[in-house]
Amino acid sequence: MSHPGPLLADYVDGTLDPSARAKVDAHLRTCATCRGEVALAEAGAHAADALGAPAAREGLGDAAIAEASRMAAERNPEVTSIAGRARRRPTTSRVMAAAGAAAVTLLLVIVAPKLGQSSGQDFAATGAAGASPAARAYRPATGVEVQHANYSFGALPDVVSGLRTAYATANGLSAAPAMNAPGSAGAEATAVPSLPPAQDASADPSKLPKAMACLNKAFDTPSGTLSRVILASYEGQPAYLGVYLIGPGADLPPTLLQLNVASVRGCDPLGQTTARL
Amino acid sequence: VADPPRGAPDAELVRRFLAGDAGAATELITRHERRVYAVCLRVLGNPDDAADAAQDALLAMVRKLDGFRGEAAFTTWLYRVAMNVCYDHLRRAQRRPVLRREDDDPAPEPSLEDHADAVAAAHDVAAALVQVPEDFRVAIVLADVHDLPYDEIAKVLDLPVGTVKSRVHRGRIALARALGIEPASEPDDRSAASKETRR
Repeated sequence: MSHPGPLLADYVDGTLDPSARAKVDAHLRTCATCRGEVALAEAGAHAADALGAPAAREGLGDAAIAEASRMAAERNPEVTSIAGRARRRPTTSRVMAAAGAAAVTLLLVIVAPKLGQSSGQDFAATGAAGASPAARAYRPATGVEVQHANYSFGALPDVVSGLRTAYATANGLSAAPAMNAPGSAGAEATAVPSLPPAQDASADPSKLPKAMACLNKAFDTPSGTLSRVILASYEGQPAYLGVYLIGPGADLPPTLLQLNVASVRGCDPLGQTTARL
Repeated sequence: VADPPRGAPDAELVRRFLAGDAGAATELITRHERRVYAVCLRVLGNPDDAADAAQDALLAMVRKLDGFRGEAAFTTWLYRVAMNVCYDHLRRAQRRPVLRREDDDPAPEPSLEDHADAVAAAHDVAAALVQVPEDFRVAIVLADVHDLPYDEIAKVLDLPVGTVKSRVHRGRIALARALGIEPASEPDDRSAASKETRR
């Protein structure tokens, strides 16, 4: 028998049938080269077998999950499997998917008035549960909200402006601008937020540590309370959007609202906007 | 490494995702992300490269799901996607030194039998593995670490089964040599005593 190369992996595995095994055994008795290789292969297989499962790494699938959300929204805007989604979200996704990234800013402004109304109400409903105004104001994020949306750089100031209006309404700090006033360009701009459901049932607590670590890495651990974290697309790439409330301390209400955007891949800073409350 | 799927079968989740259900993809990703990371880690040799590759592989998986025809098992298809990404990473990393210790990888899952020697041994094996030529390394990672049958590996790598077996055999020998193991020198006419000393 010549060197039984192709059979030796099965021989080491012990899966050869008896007659083939007997032939290999016969060859091994006369061939020191093959005998040495089989001994090494057995040692190698045994070593590889002992490797076991590596320690888990968190958040490896986050970018893929954000991409899947975006794709699903494009495919079928009426199906929203992630719990607690805003009813109007599919409309936004469908419009944005159809229009393409370049036109997103403009479209947000057009779609905005509808989104703005529910946004304020959501914040108001959430805020009512708090114990004191200050405690309520600084309520930290409890999870990561996954959104089927692609935010653009140009829309960030409007998003923050809308968040500020919603925050003020929820906490009774000042009267909200007349968002529903028809024909007012200013009202449309502030109504742009499109960050509606505030800390609703879709917030996933298990994703929060990775998201916070990523935002902290991108922005060197910003001050303030991280009140909301959204996993969505930003300029076409998966990103975390962190909403921070920054105050003077001593349990005084926050005076600034900051939106930080970090990439899921690499945790790089992508955008930041601040508004005075 | 292989864990029995719970909940809906993979193929059903693929079908639901293609019908617009993002949650189905989330379930697929959650179910398989550890497996993808594990195989990338053993092929690439260090945790940061493996995390990058696993993220890329999971993204590629989602983007290619409409190309999954259900002819092969989903895991076979997924290993194929992951191996393509790992080969891309290997090609990109060719100018960088590959050999690095997995200092932040505690290797095996904790178990009752775990002790310092076993952890140290796993570190040595992981370090030795990256010295094995990459085609051989991929073959033994799939065969001996992930316990895939040879015919499945042949589908993952798009190779004849005979080539897979040959690579596995050469890879095992290379791994043993990288660990500093040499067969006991012996006269040609003696029977294979080395087998008994090992097991």
